[in-house]
Amino acid sequence: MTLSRRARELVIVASLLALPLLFLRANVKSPAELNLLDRTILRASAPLQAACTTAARFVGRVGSRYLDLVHVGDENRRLVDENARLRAEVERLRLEAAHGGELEKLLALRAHTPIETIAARVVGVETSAYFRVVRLRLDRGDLEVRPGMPVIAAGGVVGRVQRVFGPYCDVLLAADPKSAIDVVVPRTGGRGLVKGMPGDNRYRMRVEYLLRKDEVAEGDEVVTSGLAGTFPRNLALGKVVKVVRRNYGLYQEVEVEPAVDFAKLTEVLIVKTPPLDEDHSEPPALPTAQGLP
Amino acid sequence: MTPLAFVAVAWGALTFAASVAAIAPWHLVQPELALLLVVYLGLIGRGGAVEQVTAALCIGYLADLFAGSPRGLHALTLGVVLVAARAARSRLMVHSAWQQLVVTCLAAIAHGALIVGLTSSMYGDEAAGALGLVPRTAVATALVAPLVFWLLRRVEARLQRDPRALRAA
Repeated sequence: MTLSRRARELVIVASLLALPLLFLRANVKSPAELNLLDRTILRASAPLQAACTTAARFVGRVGSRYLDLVHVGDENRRLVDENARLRAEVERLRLEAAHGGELEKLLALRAHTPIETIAARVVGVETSAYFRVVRLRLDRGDLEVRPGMPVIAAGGVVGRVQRVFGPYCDVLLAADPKSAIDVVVPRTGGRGLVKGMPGDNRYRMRVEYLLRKDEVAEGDEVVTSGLAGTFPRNLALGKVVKVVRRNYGLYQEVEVEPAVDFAKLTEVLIVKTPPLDEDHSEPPALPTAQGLP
Repeated sequence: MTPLAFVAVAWGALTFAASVAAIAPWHLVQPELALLLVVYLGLIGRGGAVEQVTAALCIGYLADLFAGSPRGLHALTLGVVLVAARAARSRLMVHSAWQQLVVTCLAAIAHGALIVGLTSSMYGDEAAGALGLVPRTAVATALVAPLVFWLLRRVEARLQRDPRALRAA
C-alpha cells in the first residue's frame, strides 16, 4: 500500500469515527427523538424480538419439564411419568394461576387508578449491562404514548417511557442511574429523589436529598410524592434496606429495594398523564401505597 | 464474510440476545455480542479499513438501538475497538480458546471503561459507579467468545462454500 493511499485511508477512518461523536453530542440533548431510520429498524426488529421471546419462553418451559424428568428411573418409569405429567400439569396451572393473579392485580390497579392507562407487555430487555431499559409492546393507543409517561406494574413504579416507535416503546427503569423520581417516606414525611445505583446488579436505588433529621429506618416504605407532576401520588417505589446517617452533612444515605421485581416483569401499565405545560394541577393520587389487592 | 454480512449477523444476534435476556433472570451480567463481532471483524475478518470501520459503526448503531443507550455511543466505542483490533491483528494470536478468552476480556474491559468514561462525561460522575460492571461484563463476554468466534468461522466458511475452511472451522 502506498503512503498516499494509506494516508487517505487514515483520513477517511478518522472522519468516519468523528461521525458518531457528532451524532452522540446531538443525541444527548434530545434522546427521545427517533429519526426515520431508527424507527424503521426498531419497528422491523421488535416483532422479531417478540416472536423470539415467545419461542424462548416456550423452549424454556419445555426444557424445564425435560429437566424435571431427567432423573427418572427405568423400573418405575410409568409411575414417575404419570407423576411428572401431573406435576407438570400442576406447575402449569400454578404458573397460570400466578400469571392470572398478576393480571388480576394489574386490572385492580387499573381500576383503582383514577387516570387512564394503557396496557403493555415486555418483549425485550437492554442488551448492555450499563443501561436499564425494557422494551414493551403496546396493546393499543401507540399514538397516545409519549416519552416521559410513567410506567407502573402491580407492585409499583417501573419507570418512564424513553422513546416510542409504532406499537413498541422503550422504558427507562427507575433503577437506571439516569432516572430521577420525587418520593416521600410516608412514616416520617421526609422527601427525596430516588435514583438508580450504577454498577449495582440487584436493581437497588438510593434516595438523595433526604434530610438527616428525618428518622428513616430500614423497612420504611418509599412512595411517589406526585410533586414532580409525572407520577401519581402514593405509588410504591420500594422499601428502605440501608440507612447511613453520619454526624455531619445535611443529608443521609438511604438505599431502597424496588417494590417491583424488574427481572420478572411481564405486563405493565403506561399512565397517560397530561403534559405539565398543559395542566399544572397535581397528578391524582392512588388510594395507598399498599392499596393494591 | 463481507462487512455487510457482519452487520446482518449483528442484527440477528442482538435481536436474539435481547429476547433471551428478557426471560433470563441473570440479564444484568451479559456478554457484549456486538463487541465480539467487532473484535472478530478487526482481528480475523476480511476487508479494508474503511469497509470494516463502516461495518463497526453500523453494528454500534444497532447496539445503541437495542441497548437503549444514547445513539452514537456504541458506534463510537466499537469504531475505536475496531481500529485498535486492526492495529493489533498482525501482533496478536487468537487461534486457541485461551487466546480468544484473554484478548476479548481485555477488549471488553477497554470497551466498558470507554463507555463508562463517555457516559460520565455526559451524565456526571454518578455514571462512573458503573465501573463495577466492567469486570463482570468482561468475564461474561470472554466466556462466550470462543463459541461466538467458532460460529462466525463456520458461518464464514459456509458463505464461502469452501470445504477446507469449513473443516478448519
